[in-house]
Amino acid sequence: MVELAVFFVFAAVAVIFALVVILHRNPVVSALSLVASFFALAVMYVLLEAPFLAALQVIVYAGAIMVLFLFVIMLLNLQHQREETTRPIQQALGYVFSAAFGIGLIFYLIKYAWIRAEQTTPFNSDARAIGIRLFEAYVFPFEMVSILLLAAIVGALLLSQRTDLRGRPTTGVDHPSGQNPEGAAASPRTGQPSFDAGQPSPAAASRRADPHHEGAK
Amino acid sequence: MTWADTLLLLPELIAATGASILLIVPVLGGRARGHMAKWAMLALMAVTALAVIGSTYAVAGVQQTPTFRAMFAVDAFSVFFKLLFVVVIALVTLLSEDFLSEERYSTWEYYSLLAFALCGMMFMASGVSLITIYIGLELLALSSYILAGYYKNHEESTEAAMKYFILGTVSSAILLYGISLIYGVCGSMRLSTIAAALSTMLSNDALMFGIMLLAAGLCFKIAAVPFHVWTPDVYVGAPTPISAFLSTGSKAAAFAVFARVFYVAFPAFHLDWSNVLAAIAALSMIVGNLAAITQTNVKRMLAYSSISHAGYSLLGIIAMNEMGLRGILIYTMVYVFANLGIWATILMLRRHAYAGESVEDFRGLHKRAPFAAFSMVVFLLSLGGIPPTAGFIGKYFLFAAAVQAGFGWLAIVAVVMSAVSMFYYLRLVVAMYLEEGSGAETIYSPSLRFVTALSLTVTLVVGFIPELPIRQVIESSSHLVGRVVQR
Repeated sequence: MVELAVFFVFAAVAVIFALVVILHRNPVVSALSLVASFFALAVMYVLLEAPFLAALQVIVYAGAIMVLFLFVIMLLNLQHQREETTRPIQQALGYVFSAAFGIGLIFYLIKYAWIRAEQTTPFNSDARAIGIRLFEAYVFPFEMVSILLLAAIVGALLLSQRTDLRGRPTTGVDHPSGQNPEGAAASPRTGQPSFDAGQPSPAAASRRADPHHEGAK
Repeated sequence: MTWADTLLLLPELIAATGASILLIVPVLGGRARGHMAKWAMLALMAVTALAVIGSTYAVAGVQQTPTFRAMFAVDAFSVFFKLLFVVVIALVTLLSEDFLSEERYSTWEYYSLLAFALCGMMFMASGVSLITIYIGLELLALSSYILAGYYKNHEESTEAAMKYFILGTVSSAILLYGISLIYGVCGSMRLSTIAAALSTMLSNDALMFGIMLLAAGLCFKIAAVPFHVWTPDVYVGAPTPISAFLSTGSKAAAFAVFARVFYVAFPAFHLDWSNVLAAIAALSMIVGNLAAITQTNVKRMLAYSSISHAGYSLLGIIAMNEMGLRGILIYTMVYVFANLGIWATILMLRRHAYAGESVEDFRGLHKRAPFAAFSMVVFLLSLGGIPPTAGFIGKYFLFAAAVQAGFGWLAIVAVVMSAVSMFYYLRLVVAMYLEEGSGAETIYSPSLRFVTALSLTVTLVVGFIPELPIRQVIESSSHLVGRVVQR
């Protein structure tokens, strides 16, 4: 009975904070609510007798990953941006489909809520058991993930570095206000994008005319 | 796990090691020698191809050898697709040469990411467990997101990469949700164990929901309607060689997974899911072809045409018979080569302020580049499914499979929509041969010439002597079909 009460309290916490994540306008608040939602999920793991998973949930998700999220959000220094207006038909379709999906899920939840799970062998979730399975039965996918992460790191570096790989500073839409005073001056903050895709930016044009850069080839 | 098992992994190991070496070279002073990267990449592809062929000899006589706790299999099916992937990546490497030298982007990392993508695709073709398939798919997807945004300073490319990334991760989440439901019902992620568990099971909502979510995730990867919205924007915004890669290699890999998962794991519930997939296929063919008619941008037109081709290929999965599986294999190959040839022609016209994108750029092409114009006609006819070309053979197999399986109405939709598609394919032919105009400048580099010539050869050879590829395909698919017949 106590378990059931704890479950419902933390289920409500998880759902409410999940709603805050998508509804709040301030991204910092969204990120912090996600942390709260993750904590509530960790309680679920405890209730399912998987304390090790609960600890991992707190350390990895609520701890490491969300702190990284917060750092990125704060470093990006997001201005309050107006959301792009979508066509009403798109919005309506979005609501209809997500409502249908939600109703379907609730329907199946109710349908299966009355089925008692058979008592099977207790789930062994201590660190040792998980480690053995990870490095024995699942060692192959585990190693595959390392390749995946390597590709992800390469991509993150490629997309985020400020100079292109030949050592020249990048100009253009990446950093319209950063290291590019000409570009910033050419288009005072009107809310319009500084440069059209087809039109080379003044800075890019000057770069092309600069014989030094030609020599750098 | 023994040394023999590791040998089976050789192609993937070589691709991953090669990708890492391509990353290290610029650090060791190779940055200035960017033009060497192409040759290094082509050498890597040659070695990988040899390893793929070699791995078949390691399992000679054995139809299927699942290793690593039945998560990875080297069989004729996977070898067929792996060889196709290696060829596609090699051709994309050739297509990328001019783009990289012109735009002055770093070459080594670009090819390294292509090699990582190849590694992911090969894992997808060989995966016989949902978890290995999923990780392979993510490896391919991550590399593709980054490559789609490789024009860092172009707004369109960045937008394409963002759209592709966000929608792609959502679809991956849907896929994972489906996998977790299937795992929950069957207690295993191995395809053969799932099939065994399902054969004794009655239809079950949680399972059907899982299969549908899995299909939805895969439909996103092959760009079938209603999961197609990202396709036109990404194909137009991404660097052109990457659009070529996304519309050929990436799709072929997704079809390999689609075919293996549904043919091996879910034959028991064929009646339940085939109607849903039939609706998706019909929608893809109709929406893709009708939307393509109105396009004036050739890349956008190709994007919609690729959506409709996903619809045709789905017929092979819906049919769930020998003919259907063979149809998927043949059609994937045929479609890949015809498409790569068309992208090569677009790249040829691409110089100076984005030419090669509108239909007008193709005007009078037969005077300036007769070979390119002629091969373009062959590729377009092949996509349309006109007899002497390879496309006819592929479509014949798919449509016949659908009729055999009792989906006659779907075959009729497919035939009608193929006729519709000829309308917009022929518009390009008319522009090239009958209309006069200066059009875009053409610079036909040896690499592009080679890609066109190879694609043309494959398209014509498969069209004129289909016995050879068909025999190969029958060999490659018989062990999967065997399972279907047993049921």
